[in-house]
Amino acid sequence: MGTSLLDLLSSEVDTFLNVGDSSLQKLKNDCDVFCEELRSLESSLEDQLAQEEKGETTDSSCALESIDGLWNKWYRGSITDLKTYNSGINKFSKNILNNKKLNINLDECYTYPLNLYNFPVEQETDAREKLSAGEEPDQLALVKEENQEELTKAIILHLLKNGQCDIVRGMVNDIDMEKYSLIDESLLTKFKLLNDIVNDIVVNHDLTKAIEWFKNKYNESISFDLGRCKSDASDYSDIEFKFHILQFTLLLNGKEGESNIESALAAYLYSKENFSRFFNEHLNEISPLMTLLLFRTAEEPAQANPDDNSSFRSYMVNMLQEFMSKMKQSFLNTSDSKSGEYGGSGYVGQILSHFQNIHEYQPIFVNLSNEFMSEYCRELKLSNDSSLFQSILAGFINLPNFYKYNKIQLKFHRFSISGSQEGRMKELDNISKSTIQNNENNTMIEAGFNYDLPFQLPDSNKFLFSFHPIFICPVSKEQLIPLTNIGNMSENHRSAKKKTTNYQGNNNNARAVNNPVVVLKYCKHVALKDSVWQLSKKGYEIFKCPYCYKEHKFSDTSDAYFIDL
Amino acid sequence: MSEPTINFHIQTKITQFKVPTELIKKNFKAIQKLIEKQKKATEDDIRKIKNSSKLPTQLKLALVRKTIKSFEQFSLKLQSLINKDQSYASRILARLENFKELEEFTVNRNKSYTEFGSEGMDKRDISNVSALDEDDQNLDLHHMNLINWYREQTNLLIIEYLIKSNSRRDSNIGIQLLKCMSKTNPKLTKLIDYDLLDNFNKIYVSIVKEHDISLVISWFNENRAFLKKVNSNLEFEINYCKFLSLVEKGEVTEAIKFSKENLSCYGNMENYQEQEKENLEENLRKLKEIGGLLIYLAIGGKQTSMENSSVPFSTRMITHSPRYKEYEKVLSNERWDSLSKCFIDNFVNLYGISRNHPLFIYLSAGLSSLKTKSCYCNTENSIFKTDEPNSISQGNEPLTLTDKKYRGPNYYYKLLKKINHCPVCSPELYKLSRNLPYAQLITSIFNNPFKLPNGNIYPFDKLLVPSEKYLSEKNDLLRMGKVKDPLTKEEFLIDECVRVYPA
Repeated sequence: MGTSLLDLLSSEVDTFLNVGDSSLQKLKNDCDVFCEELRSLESSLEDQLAQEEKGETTDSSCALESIDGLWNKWYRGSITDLKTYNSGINKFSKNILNNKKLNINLDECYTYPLNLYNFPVEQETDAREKLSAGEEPDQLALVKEENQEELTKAIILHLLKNGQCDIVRGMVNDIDMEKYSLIDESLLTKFKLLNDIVNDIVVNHDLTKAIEWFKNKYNESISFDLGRCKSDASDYSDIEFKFHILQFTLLLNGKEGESNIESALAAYLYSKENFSRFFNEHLNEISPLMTLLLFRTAEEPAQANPDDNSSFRSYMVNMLQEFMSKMKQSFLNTSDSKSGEYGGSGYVGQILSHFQNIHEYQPIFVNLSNEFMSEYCRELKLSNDSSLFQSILAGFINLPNFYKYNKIQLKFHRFSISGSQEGRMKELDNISKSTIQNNENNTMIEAGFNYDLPFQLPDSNKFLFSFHPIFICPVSKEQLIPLTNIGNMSENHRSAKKKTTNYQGNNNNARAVNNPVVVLKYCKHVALKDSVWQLSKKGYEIFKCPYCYKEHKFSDTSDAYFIDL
Repeated sequence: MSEPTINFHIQTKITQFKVPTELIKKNFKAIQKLIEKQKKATEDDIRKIKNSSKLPTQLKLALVRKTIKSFEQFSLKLQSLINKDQSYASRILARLENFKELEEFTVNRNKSYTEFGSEGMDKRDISNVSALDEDDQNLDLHHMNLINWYREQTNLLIIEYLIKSNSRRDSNIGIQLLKCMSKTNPKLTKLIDYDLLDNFNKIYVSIVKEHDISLVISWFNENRAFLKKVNSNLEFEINYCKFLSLVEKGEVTEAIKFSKENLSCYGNMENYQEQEKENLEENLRKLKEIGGLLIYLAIGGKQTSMENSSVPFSTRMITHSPRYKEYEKVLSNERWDSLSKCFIDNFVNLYGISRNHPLFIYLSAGLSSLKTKSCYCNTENSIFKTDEPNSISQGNEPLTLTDKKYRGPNYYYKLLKKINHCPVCSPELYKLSRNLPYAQLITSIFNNPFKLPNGNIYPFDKLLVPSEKYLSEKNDLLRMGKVKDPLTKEEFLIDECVRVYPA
């Protein structure tokens, strides 16, 4: 196995920085040494002067002559240092910066450009002025400006959700004030509160505000919900529980990080007050934590009594650590069987492994604050994470595929251009679909439903991003387009009329829209209506279910709609 | 299909190392210069000291003291340059550390495959896999801290975008944001070359907004050597702008003089390299135009009296000719755009920065990989109110819930009080993703899809889970073997409902 790029990078950076540091230090040193020499010369001259005043004569010409040599030494030394550093820089450039293996041009991953400007643009620019002046506006420019505004809005929302409330006020000015009766103040204060709570968690490791918020919510839901069904309240509790156990751990650790009988008592009282609600679902997690309580108090007499044999103390500490690791292991074993998605299990495991120095393990606080953010947003009827972040996360994860595809396309292009007539024909056959679409894409404003990514993405990360029920027809391989888009369609038409540019996709949209799934009566398999219509030769013939070959007539099918709860 | 790996992240972010190295190089040159300057400055003094044995001690002492002083100053300057170097070096180190964090989040694919192998997996497959993997490490996306790592990267992308796309003169929102965020996470300032980007933005804004070329000129002078190596056309663009500005101000004689000194050389083919043909043609075209400008100006001066019939016919002819319009264009803002584009190209080239905002690149890939045909513009998921009417709550007419349209996600989420978490559905990103393709997906429906007689398919577990409250309506219905469609509020016998099989 060779070294990974990280290892390569790491060792090169190491040498580079070392060379830089040492040669610059030497450079400085050389200078200091020379200064020292000058100063000693100065003092010897001073002495001489003093002696001359007394009438004695000494000769310092020897020292004076040596100065030339010293000076030369300084200069040559400095030049050598510079040379060393320079070759260090060159080596780093050669091995890392200009290393083909390490260089991927990010621009080559930009397979599908957004309709956005790559340079700073002010809002009220030409296109809009033209529009207001009644001139024919540049369609694309208008869309780009609109998109820039949307991006700004997405960033604002992202920042708000991430607790950057103050900066947002400045940004709001960047978007068109007339079109939006912007964020109202009450909403901003709510985000301000979120900001405070998140800061408390991340910076001060203080959970009180967050826990208070949960308590209020819980009380509200109890009084409000008397008759209604539960669902919401129970969803909260998972995260609320995490806060409680962290708070418990913090209390147990004590204020100065020194746990003693008082801190144990505080933790015990806290657990008594707050854990009961969670016993049903979280007994698994609570029990190891409560055991911690026992050990903490057991440790106490040893600490309180310095006369005690210190070996006994260290024995206790070892015992404790051994027990902790065993407990963690067994806990992890049991929780392994329960699979978690992102955010899921392992939390108590984390707490257990960082129990003694919980304040130094920042990720636990950062993660918790993110989860709190999602809870808070749910309250505001917003999605649980920043949409911008989720999209970019998907970008980080899937970018390698876009890059690969682009690379292959480029190679293919080069090959077929240099190839014969035959090759060119082949090119037309094979990549016409994707490339032509790519080219169109440059000026495309709205994609039609037939415009699919030409490659499939790995689904190993699907668990992060499954937001909609997706149905792919087993016959036509088309993706189900739910009814939503009827509404969208008319909107599209409207905007198309308004905007004059009409993308080819519209016809396809019209066709695709009334194509719901149908359930086959006898086998309960599902397919798209159009496919079944084709299979049955427009309703005239009996057809076989594409999965199980059971025979059906077209009239044996019924429309159906997936609705997620 | 490829998955994210440490290698890929490093490969796409090598700029993070390139920029500080460039800064180190520049600083290095400054150190070099400083030393040479110091050498020259003290050369004389040293010689004098050396040969001063005949001079009175007093004078010798003065000479030595002078040299000491000059070296002390040199030492201070040197130290400040060394400090600069160290701060750039610390960026490189911080970025390396940042990548090293990723090591904690890897899944060892090779290992798991060998485990499989022992259970009878084809040997050839194993060798294939390890050949593919080589030394690359896949990232474990189940790891919460990895997700947080990406969160931080996203914030950096946003900051970078904001700094670069800033269009204000007085302040830069991206810099402000960086300041805010680094309060809780101080290492951020090491992970982004904010000073460089800020400078980049300032130069750009000064050109486009203030039509001020002093900043770009000084940038040009700083990087003259590099720009020459890549056959940059920046100098021409700068001079061209200067000339036109003189013309615009009416200083025609000055302009002509300037053009003789600084522009005429660009008309000479011998001054160009082989690779610069494009520049040559473009520059020649521009140069040819500016001669005619003078006529344009001569006419322009009389423009006030244009309506007057005393304007000679020939002049009117000219003012209506397309050529005349061309000159208007020459004097328009076009030249600033052209200069700024040239500057961007050169800048990006120098530091190996991507031409497109990295934010766009990741966003585009992310949006197209998330875009489904079920996405719709979910106006709920935004804090920005639009004037579009809310389609459900509006009006007093009673809702006929059985209407088909309510079965589309754009309605049922609202009616069921369910939050749509899809990022592409958020109104802002929905609009941004308009021109992007749809991802190729595979069927993924909730578990146990359960169809009611009216065609609605729900997840069985959620539909029929008994309510916590003992006496709730739902539980009553369940006891009677009935279920209520949460959307249409119709009631059905559970026996009439069926499990369906989407795949």
